[in-house]
Amino acid sequence: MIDAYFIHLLILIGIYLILAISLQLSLGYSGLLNLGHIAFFGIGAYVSAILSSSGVPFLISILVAGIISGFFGWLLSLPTSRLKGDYFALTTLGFSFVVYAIFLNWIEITKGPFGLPGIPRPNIFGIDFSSNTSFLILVIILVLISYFFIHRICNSQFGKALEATRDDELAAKSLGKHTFKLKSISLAVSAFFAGIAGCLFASYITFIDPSSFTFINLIPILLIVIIGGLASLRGTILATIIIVLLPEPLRFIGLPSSILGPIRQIVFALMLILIIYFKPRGFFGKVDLE
Amino acid sequence: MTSIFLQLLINGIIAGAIYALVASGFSLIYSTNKFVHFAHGGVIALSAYFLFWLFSKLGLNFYLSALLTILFSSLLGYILNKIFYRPLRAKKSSSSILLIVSIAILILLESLALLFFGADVKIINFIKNNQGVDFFGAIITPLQIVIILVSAILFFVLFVFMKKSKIGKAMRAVADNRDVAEIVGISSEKIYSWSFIIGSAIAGCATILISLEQNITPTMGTNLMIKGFTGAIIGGITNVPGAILGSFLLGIVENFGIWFMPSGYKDAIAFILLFIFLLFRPQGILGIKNNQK
Amino acid sequence: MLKIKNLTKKFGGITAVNNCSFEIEKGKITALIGPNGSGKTTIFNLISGIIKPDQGEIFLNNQNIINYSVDQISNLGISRLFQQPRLFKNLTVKENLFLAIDNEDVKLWKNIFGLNKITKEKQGAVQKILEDVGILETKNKIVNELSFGQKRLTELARTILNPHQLLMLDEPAGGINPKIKKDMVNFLLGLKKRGQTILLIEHDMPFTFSVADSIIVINMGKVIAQGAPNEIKQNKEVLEAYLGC
Repeated sequence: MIDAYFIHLLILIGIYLILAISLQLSLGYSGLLNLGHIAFFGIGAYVSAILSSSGVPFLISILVAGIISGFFGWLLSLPTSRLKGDYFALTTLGFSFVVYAIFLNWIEITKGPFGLPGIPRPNIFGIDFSSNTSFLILVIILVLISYFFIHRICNSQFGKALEATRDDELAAKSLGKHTFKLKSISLAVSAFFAGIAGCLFASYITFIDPSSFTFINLIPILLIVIIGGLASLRGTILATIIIVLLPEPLRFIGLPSSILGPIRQIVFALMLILIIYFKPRGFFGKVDLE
Repeated sequence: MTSIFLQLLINGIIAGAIYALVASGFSLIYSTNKFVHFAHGGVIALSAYFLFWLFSKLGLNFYLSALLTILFSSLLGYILNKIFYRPLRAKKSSSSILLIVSIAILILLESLALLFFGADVKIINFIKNNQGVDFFGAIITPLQIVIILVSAILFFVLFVFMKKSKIGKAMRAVADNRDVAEIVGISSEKIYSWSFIIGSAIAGCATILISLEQNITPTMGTNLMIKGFTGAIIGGITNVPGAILGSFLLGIVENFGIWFMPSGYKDAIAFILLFIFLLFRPQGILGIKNNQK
Repeated sequence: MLKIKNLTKKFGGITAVNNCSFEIEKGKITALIGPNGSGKTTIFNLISGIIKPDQGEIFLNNQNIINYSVDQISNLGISRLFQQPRLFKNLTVKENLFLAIDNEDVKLWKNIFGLNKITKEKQGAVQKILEDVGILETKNKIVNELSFGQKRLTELARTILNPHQLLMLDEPAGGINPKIKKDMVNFLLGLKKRGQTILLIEHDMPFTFSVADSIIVINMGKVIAQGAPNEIKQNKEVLEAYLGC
């Protein structure tokens, strides 16, 4: 019993980790406060759910989910590129509201509030991933791939160019950097991996509905990125483990889920406020939140 | 045909009045403090539950409950500013940081409401007979008429207050140019406090009317905040009349919009308008373009 | 090399640049001087592409650049030092400089596949410029931790490392202590010797007169005098503009 629970937690950590490092790419490294990040998670989830349920092989579903999410990330970057600071944040937030409204109302495709049940577990080249243990292995592989990719981007000169754009966009431009393109790529890649995470989430829970993709669900992820520290991938790993595990002890106190839910939200909201006030650089951040 | 048109128009005005009640308090706070106080929605939600607790649980007289609710929301707004925003402002936090914190506070307040009162819908049973009356072929309830009247009076009072009163003028001064205002002796911290007190008091009034008209749910704050925020952006977030105008426009567009599409998309209309305005005309219809870095 | 023709820019009711025309010669150091608010930085911003003129044209080697973006103009060969510090404050001095060398860093796949490494040549170039400017010891420090003077010099180094035909320096001597200022005069003269073309804005008159081959005086958005330093010193109109008599 404990084993199964432990595996479940590891899977959650894996999914959140991919979501968090993709947000880290756009927020920590590129300075883009994308409050709509959860929308890409949702797009990936729905796209892969619909494809998988129609019999499309998992490898194709997950790739298509990532690509479509990435495409929307790129699309979002186009008109928002000249927006600064909180206007960018609010516009991306508005984007996530629009996406949520579509999930809720496009009943023909998403079945609206009833959600999509019966999403099949992955089956890749005949290997069945229905058991949680095997699913965990799949998650680990995808985490490693995602982390590898994002790590390579952030630690390369491309990553430095992103950081330059974050620190002073005009100066970056006056060195000849096409910052518009840099920001678009950053958002697209960030959205791509969020979409991958969404696909994993959909195939794990085997049921999705719009309520998992409201902006409230972004708070733990934002919290992870800030607590871990902006522009620190190491910090993100540590913070993900802490944030996913933190509410778990509450389960054992025997509180009903109607109480657990709000308490979890309260704890996260308070932690976010406190960390911003007391230690805005988090554990390993080299950059201040701005 | 005209009666459908009229009905939609009336529905639009009622919705607009509700959004305007939210937006006016919110934009008063925004124009003075220069950041988005998303938690305003949380103040509304928590105040609604406070009203419910006083009236339905404790059985207090409705008008007394309403008065206490308005005091409660003012106080809550004042405390939020004092505990959360003021220390951050002292640390020269950017408006993006204050935005994130205000979203966190919104979630905090709504989660508290959920925790103490549960997720089921609460109803305020004050108005016994709320039969719709016929108005040139359209239906409007007495409560709705009251909402429109009360909000109109409230907006008028607010307008006069901002224009004539000492505090109102000081608020506009700080909104316009904080440094200059300080030079002429206005304490900006005091004005910030006042903006929260008054803005949240308006939220309290909004809460009472909204709780009577719609029912009380833990997420009502978020929903109203988004609509009020959208209305404020459409009309011009930096000035209160603009926010009110934009809110009425939003209410009307929403209600005419669902003439053409399924009613579930009503919210989507607001979100899309919000997104478009933020992209292409963030200063709104009445606002002035602000060339901030 | 650089030609400004009938350049005009208004902000609301204020005409910051008023039908301004002048030319910059290759291989020389030209200084733009004038009272505060006379439009010098606005002219710089127009040349860099940060703002667009209402009227007029800007030619870089006979190519009209007024419709190009900031990054395009930089890639055409103009390298700019700003009046206010514009460093990448969370990166090290070294990292700030590497970013200036070329634009291979915006190519995503090239970088992911590890094909855009920091070569020995690049390291050498950075080493050299840090030595020339005199801040080699700060190489690995995060820019945020440097003193104002060190930051200024880092930015100067970065501006020079950025491939260019024309250097535009907005108050390079601003806020720097006198000893370093003297080094900077020699440094700029050294650059000129190596064939560099420099256009600078300055308020420090002794500094300007030691360095400039040609001086352009701007007042109220217009060129009121242009010539060698000696001529300008005697020019009545210039004295009036500065001293208001």
